[in-house]
Amino acid sequence: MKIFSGKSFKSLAFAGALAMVVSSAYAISWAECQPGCQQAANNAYNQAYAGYTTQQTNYCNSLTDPSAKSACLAAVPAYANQQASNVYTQAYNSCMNGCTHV
Amino acid sequence: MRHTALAVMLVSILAPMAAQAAPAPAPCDLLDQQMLTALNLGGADTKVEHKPIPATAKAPASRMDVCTFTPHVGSASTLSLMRIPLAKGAPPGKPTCNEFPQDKIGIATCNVVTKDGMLTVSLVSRRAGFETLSAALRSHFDRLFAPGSARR
Repeated sequence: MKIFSGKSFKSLAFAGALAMVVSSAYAISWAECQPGCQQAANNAYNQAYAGYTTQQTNYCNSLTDPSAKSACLAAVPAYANQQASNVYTQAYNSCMNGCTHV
Repeated sequence: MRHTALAVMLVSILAPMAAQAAPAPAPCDLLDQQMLTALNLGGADTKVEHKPIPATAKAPASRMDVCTFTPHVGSASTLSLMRIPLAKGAPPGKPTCNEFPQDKIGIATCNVVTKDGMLTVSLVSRRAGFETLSAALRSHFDRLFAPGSARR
């Protein structure tokens, strides 16, 4: 049974070869982008962690209720880590998108 | 007939059990669709997490409930809401918002103490369009959590 005609087989082979070229070009650029983007994301995390810590500590200290203030201050490290992790993800994805799609 | 009677019996037994086992309202429910739409997060994916908060000299161990909204497509912005339980009787406060933009990313946060605990909402977005989103965050947070609003 003949599945492909000669012409359609050539088209399929060409499409396959093109897909391989494109995917290997993407893989190379992904590998090239990854270390720089990881570094940029780490820097963004550290900046954000410091920013969130300062901002949230100021807010906690503005609370007048002593128990609310203590609970708020106790949560600052977990809060800053949670938020800075979002910033890391955002910075990493944004960097990789910009880098691998050039 | 016998099957119907059995089904009615099962429903009458299981329904109250299911109602009792229903989890506490997710922190995601504290924000409304109007706010999410204004932040380009209408129909966003949500993720709920519970993070432990270790005890300190002045506060007992606690936990932080987190709801994170991320867009279905792309990664333009992320919104997360955190709720920390407070001792009963903590006086509610006014919402306060701050911004601290970085090189390529804008960050805006809003805080408030409500009957549900201390709430913090944080928006992380690209710098392009950040000012508009930050203004929307501030106005919707005020609408939802200012004294006298429905969520207080």
